[in-house]
Amino acid sequence: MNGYVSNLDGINFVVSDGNGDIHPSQTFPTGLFSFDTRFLSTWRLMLNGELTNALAKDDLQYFESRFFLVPGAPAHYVDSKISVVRHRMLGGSFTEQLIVLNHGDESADLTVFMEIGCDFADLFEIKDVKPKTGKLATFVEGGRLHFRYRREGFVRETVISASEPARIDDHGLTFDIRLPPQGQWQTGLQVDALVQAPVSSRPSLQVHAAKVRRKMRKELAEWLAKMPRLACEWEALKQAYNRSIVDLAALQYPVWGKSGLIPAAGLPWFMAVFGRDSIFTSLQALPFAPSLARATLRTLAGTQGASFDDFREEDPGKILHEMRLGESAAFLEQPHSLYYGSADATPLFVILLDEYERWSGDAKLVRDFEFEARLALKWIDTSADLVGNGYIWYQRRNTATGLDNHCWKDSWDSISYRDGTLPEPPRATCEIQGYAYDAKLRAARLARKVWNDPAYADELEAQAADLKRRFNRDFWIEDGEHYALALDSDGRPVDALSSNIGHLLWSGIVEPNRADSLVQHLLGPDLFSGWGIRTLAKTAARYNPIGYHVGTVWPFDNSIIAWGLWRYGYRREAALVAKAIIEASPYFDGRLPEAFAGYDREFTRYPVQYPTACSPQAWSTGAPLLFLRTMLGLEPDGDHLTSSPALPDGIGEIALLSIPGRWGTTDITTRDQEGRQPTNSR
Amino acid sequence: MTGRDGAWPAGETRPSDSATAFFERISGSRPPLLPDHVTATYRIDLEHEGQTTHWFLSIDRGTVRVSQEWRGVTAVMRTSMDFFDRLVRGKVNLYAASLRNDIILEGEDNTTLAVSLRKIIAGLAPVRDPSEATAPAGGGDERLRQQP
Repeated sequence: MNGYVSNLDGINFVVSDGNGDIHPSQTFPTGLFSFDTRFLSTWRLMLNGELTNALAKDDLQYFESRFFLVPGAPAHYVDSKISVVRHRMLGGSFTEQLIVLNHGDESADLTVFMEIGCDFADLFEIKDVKPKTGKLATFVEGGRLHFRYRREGFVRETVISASEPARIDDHGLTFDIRLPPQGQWQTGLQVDALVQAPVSSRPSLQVHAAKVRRKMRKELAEWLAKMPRLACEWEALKQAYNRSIVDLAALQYPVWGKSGLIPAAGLPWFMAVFGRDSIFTSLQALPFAPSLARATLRTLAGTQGASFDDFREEDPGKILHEMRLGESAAFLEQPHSLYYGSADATPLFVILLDEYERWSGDAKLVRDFEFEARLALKWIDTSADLVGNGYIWYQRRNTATGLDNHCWKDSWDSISYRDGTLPEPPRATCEIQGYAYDAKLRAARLARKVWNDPAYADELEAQAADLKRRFNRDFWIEDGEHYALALDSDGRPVDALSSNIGHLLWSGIVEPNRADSLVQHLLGPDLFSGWGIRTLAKTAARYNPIGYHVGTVWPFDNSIIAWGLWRYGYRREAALVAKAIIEASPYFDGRLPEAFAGYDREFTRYPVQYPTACSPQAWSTGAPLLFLRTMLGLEPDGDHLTSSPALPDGIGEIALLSIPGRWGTTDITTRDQEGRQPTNSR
Repeated sequence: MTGRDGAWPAGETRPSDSATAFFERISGSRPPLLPDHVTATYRIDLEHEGQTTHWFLSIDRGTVRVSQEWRGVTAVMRTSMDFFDRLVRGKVNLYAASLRNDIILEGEDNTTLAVSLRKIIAGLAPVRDPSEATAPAGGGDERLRQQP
């Protein structure tokens, strides 16, 4: 995303170049997007036939930017008498306020032309270019420029209007203006992205987005006012925290009726609901923004799988992987008309339900979703166990457009033996078994505490104990002293050393006497780069420091691992991982990307961005929040919040004020000295 | 005639009996996949040859009642009689159909209506063992089968 400027508001986003222009690209998602559809593919400002160039730009808020421009190529504008301000805002509609200024002593005649084009590309057509099936019409009606795309009943329309008189044709809007000396001229441009029904008018984007432009600043201010306040001397942490809480506001949107606002996964490729990403982000953000967990649980309960459907990899009880709103989903060219190709979202749903209750005390929601939680737990024991030996397995049933791997490392080559061979499916990755173990124990707690079914709780606990015993027998690699990445279709361990073993600490499935050797691996030179823990160890044949899931460092992955280290009592090690990632964040202006390269810190000196990383990415946005929780050692205990902190050395004091939860709000303050007790005040 | 009470003029047959059969089948039942925390009333409008039949679907903690008596609702689903017939036979996907406007969903609770109906319909299908899954990509969706 280098060199691009993006504004976003939930599933609506615009990506342009640094001058504010959108140049048509078939392969990169520049443009105005909504509903996984590109509603503007060309948006270029020209003065007297010349493009403009930015002297400066201001990213005011995530939903607005301002560009200060002069006409012509960079070499010409030294003495420019004309300048332009473009003030862009996204929220319901996409608007731009154009101001043209004449700094000269003579009047100036100018032709201002906004070149406009719409290709209505589905996001998946940009990844994989293909011609459009439907018909595109361009027309001028009522002083507005319309682009309308129709394929059967599927209609998408872009409408462009201006506040000043314009000459309008199929290519854009032209303004012929005369500026007096020292004078200025301005016009508002409005772009509406419409989703139309054939019979009656349907809620347009403005209504669906549920955020009207004039309310957005107020809503952001209210959101930030609800967040705990962080006071510390560690500038990198402060910057990352402040960036994260704003980006979380930007990424959330009302996807599912009245369920509330849920975080979309990441800009630009994943501005949609992903079960796994939404769950992890909600878990990371629970001590800060519990509303995300509530909305995520509601949305995923509503969309829970109901039938056996191979195209969508759906089973009854299974939790959603991905939901899309574009043409490829509508016409079944992609399976995203509720796609269920993840094997971990289902146990993670149960984990989030329990963790949410521990923080919020919201027993009603847990009672409401007992039905869905039981269905999810039943899925773990039935449909997920493809081999019939008590583990969660996956093998794709949609061989045309489904995902190869149904774990968080979902690229095709992420699961390999140490020698680089890919195992035959079905596969059972280790961390998913950990999630299943944790889900059963957490559900047992809910069964006792909220569902009033102690017999079910006993049964779940017995299952969990049995799973832990079998897992430690079947996944352990004796000579390597770590857990296998997965089991292959013959039940043999897939022996590559990977970051997945860190998630096992978080789940609690690790036998305590094995934790030491896991920690040595995680913080040893093969996995730890100095900037964080790599997805795959350098000893694996497929290791590549710029390979998506085979050597890069993922901030989200590290935040879960640090939580696991803390859980097993390795608090200094947890702090070390937290410190490494937080120290990487200033290189990205506090906005941790999806992933960065796995090069040794001593080799590159700075974290190298992964070429096509999404940013902001919800669970990277959530990572600083979870690191903060882990460093402060926050845990709910009944109606109180407890703190067992371990801060990295040399960072001084951290205070987190007004942490929301079942206790109302509470403050935690601690210093980086070992053994110092935190203060906890109401 | 008025579609409002669902009565049909003497001498004319209903345009389709499958919708009626579906509603009769689910009325009074507790569909196995329908959560017990949903309580709501929805309207389903079925269009056929310029006529609209209205069905009212009430869900009370997991139990379904169907009637044609007019009442207040929080969401409406509108489609053709023919499309609804294919929907309840599990031949088309509700979510994709709504993206294509083959089905129109309206009202503040429209997503809850969609997921509830989806779960009711799924509960009627014969349970299939996933290990025997051999169906082509596209599952039971007729649209995909029509493609070469």
